[in-house]
Amino acid sequence: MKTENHRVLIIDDERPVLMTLEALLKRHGYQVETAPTAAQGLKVLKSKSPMLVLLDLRLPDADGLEMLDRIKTELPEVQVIILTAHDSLHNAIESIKRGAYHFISKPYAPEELLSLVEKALEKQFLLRETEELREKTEQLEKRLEIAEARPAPIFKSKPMQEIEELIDAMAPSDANVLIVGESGVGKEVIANAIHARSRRAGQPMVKLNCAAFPQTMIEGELFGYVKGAFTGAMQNFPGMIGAANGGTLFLDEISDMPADLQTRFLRVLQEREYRPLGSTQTMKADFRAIASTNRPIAEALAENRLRSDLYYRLNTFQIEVPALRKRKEDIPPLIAQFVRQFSQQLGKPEPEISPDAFQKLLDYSWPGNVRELQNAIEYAVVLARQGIIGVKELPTEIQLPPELQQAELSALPRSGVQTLDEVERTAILQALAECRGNKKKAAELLGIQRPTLYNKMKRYAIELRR
Amino acid sequence: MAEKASQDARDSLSVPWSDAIRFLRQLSHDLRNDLNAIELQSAYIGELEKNEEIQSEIKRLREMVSGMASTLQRLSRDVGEVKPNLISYRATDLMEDLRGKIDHDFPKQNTEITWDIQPGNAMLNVDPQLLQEVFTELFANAFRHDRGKGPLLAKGKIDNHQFLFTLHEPKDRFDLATQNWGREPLRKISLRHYGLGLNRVRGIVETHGGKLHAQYDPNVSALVTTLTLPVASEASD
Repeated sequence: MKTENHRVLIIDDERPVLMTLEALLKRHGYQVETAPTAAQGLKVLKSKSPMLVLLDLRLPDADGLEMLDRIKTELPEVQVIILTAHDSLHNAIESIKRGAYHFISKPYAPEELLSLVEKALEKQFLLRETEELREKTEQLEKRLEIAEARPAPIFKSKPMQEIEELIDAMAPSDANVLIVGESGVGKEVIANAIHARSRRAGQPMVKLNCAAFPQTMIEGELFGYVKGAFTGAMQNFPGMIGAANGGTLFLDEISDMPADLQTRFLRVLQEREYRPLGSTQTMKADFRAIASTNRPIAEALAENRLRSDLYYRLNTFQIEVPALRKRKEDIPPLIAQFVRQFSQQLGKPEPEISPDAFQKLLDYSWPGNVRELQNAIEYAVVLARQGIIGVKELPTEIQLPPELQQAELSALPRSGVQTLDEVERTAILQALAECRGNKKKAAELLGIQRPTLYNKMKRYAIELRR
Repeated sequence: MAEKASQDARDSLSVPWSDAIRFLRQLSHDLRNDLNAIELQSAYIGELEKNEEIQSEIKRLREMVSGMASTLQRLSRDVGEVKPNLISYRATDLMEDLRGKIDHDFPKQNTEITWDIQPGNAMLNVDPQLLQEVFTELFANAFRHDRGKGPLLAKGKIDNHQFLFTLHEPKDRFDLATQNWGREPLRKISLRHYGLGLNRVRGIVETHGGKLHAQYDPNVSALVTTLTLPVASEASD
């Protein structure tokens, strides 16, 4: 074992012991500090952080065993070897019971002492390594837990299969990626998949939702700051770029990032350097950038919400995640995944889904995409009785006939001149939707008799398939 | 008659000192191991026991066992090889340490010593811990054996590039030969005394390149022990 970086503190009031021990240990490559009293020893302990203390049991200003207790209480990781002139095995055994590594009687044999010192430091090194490994394991367990809790992407439909092929091809590179798609389609899930399949998978993936922070705060969150950089900067903060060092930085809703910050971020992407707020020090930026937006790119560029130079820099690879209604084949595996996930979370057996309910889930247009499906399944799993999810356990919106669902109504033409018949048909559909298909209530809402509503529904071919 | 012949035969056996040492060290080692085990077992029993009186007896027993283990440890040390860890050390510091040690170890007798120490700024190349053992042993012997009237006189000075330490012990009579001072281990064995101390003292002094000798001066009725150590440098103030 190398000894250069091993600092040993000797606390002994006998000068000959102190000096010969110091010389012996220095000769064998140890860094040695000495203290003739307990008080001085404590000072050195705090200022020099030795890995090992050789402690005399008889000190002028303290009892050695009490000193040992103090060391083990304040710095439990420090190893202590007791030097005892008393030839008292009783005290030595007591010291081991109180946490000393070992004891040695004075006058000691140099070989015996050196061997003990080396073993104590080896133990200290192993303990430190064990602690580091334990921390790493805890971190990995947490990350695994988070990864397991995250919905895995489903690549069943053809467009999603194509996306998976693209991910497999470009994930190992450090190329920037721009993910576009409606809200809730799973852009973050795709970003997770890219990170997980990249060479940076062992490093952190840091996410910043540009829409979730006030614009004034995004700069500090992204670049970090030093203590005192602005009012409220009470301590240094490394920022997301710093936290993503070696890993991936995912900027969600990039088009919500202020324009001037987009320019600064572009410079980071180009120069791979950045400076935290209030700092004079330039830091290296080592991250892979993945950005996403739910706005149509053309619109975001036209409205100057996304700077074109940043867009071109990010757009090395663009992934357009289709809306869920355009890839219905993905719905069954997504349902299965969410049923399993929420059953586990709730600690109940996985319920079955009745054919009717399953059909409703397939028919629904999912305007909120995968996120809405996830919420619907969570709702259904919570309400499931006797291991079955029936239609009644689905959110009301999904129970409605397709023509009364908000998504369908919102798809009705809204511009241009409508005929009176079109206006009347729309009004009837909206009333029925609002009353959840209850014709009596819908007629009252429309201010007509129920038979009149029936006639008009027949006339406009409105059928409720519940 | 036969018994005497057998005794004579045993006495005529010649055992090398190195073999005797090996035997002593091995025996001491084995016994200490056993004593340590006994001590640990006693400690365990002490923890199991609730009765305070028995606990206190077990503690006393443990201290006795510890004492035996310590005696054996000292025995092993006394017959062991001397390996000094030499460092530069001021002669004045060595003497100051010695006086502190004597004050600590012999609090009742320390007033019976007259000190005359003038080592100047001489630097020695020594193992101060081992030398402290040497001086302590010399003083312990002086207090223990045949004390005459009058104080002990401890002198230290630099003489001819050597650090010269002398200890004058008043003794009304002294019967031992001093030609082989410290070279005759086991010469004087008594209760808790094994005749090894001077032999170790000599060994330590010689590994420092020094010399030890003693002479009884009947004119002043004093045993004078002289110890010399080479001086590394004599820096002036």
